[in-house]
Amino acid sequence: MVGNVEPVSASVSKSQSVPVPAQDIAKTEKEAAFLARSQALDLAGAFTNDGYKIRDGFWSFILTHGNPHILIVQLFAKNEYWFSGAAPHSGKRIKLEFFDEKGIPVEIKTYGGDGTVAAGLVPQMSGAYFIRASITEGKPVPFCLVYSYK
Amino acid sequence: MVMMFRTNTRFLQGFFHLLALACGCIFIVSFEGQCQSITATEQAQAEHIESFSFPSAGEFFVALAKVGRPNWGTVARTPLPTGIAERPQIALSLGVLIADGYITVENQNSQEMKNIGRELLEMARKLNAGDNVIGRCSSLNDFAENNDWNSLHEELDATRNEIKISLVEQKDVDLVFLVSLGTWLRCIEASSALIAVNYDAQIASLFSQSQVAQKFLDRIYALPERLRNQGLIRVMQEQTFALEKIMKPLANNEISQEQVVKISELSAEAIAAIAGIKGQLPSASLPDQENSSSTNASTKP
Repeated sequence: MVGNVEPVSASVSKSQSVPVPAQDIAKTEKEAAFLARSQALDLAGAFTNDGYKIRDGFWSFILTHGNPHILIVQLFAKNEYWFSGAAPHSGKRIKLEFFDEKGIPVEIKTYGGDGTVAAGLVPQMSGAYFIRASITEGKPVPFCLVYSYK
Repeated sequence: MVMMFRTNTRFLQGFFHLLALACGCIFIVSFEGQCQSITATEQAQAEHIESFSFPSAGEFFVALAKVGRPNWGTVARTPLPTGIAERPQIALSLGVLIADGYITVENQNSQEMKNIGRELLEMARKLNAGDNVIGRCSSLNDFAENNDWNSLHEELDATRNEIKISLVEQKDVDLVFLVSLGTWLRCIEASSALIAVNYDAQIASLFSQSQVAQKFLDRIYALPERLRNQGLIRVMQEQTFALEKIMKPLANNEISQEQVVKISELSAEAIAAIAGIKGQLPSASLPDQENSSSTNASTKP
């Protein structure tokens, strides 16, 4: 059984009538990506109170409806993992799914907030696992995922 | 009455058929809702991020501690390369040294930790990354002094990151993954040497890292030709290629003792090459074989 966050319809912002310079768009996107990472780390920080250590790396990209991203990771049996993701202003549209190296869904616990999502699992076998991140509807959003373990 | 009975029977049959169909539909919908597996194509196209997808040494040791208590005190330190070394060799050695730091944390050897802190700074300076890690190495020394093993774990992570950041700033990104490769090989080598002698299937399963080896191999193949053709990198390629094959679990999802022994031999050869030692470092052997020389698993530093 795969847990997921229930989708909530998000309001779509009105498009601007005045063209925005390219460098301003890039700066805005950069700021949005930074905010996503910052919020993901904030969420992961909550788990450190329970003895989890945050891994230094992160997975960051623009999440678009209909175009899920898949990442491969190596996880170890009996380690406890929490994957914390954030996409500011995305409501509850983010979905995380986990699969073993055969591509079979893995049972996870999930937590979802406004613009954040966390998935916890304790692998029974060491090996490669796949994480699929997707957005259920609406406009593209910058997304960042970090993980912690103990 | 007979006709009514037949009509009722037909009605009941139809009802049960409809009920079965409805149950089947519900089952199918639930099944599909739960089993949206990813395809082989999606797996092949999955992204791989070095700082996220490669396992960290910290994770590996945490997992190892959950399933066993290897006697780290018997693991010998890897000698550092002497004389002038090429930058790839220094990067690999730095990775090995970082792994030795984690092993020393497991062993809770304060003096050894201070030695490693000093050597880390020396090696980092050879890569012009010394400035970034001076503070970290000082912290390693302080935490070792206070036996603060928890903080040492995190400080080693941070030290590794600082080295990588420095290499990226120097536009020497090829060396970044070599640091990771050195750490990975040393973790595998040190732990497999112990497990090969005292085999435990649960611990051995931690060596199910065929895809990690494959990804390191992909990075080696992607190196510029001038780097890829260096003798040491070719040895890394050969050993990693062989490790990728041997680290695949058997049909019962286990890694056998024979596999662990082979993993130990292959990784020991790689570590010896990094240290600039000719031939293979002594490795663990099966219990029923005589040890002809001292091994990593049984020699104290």
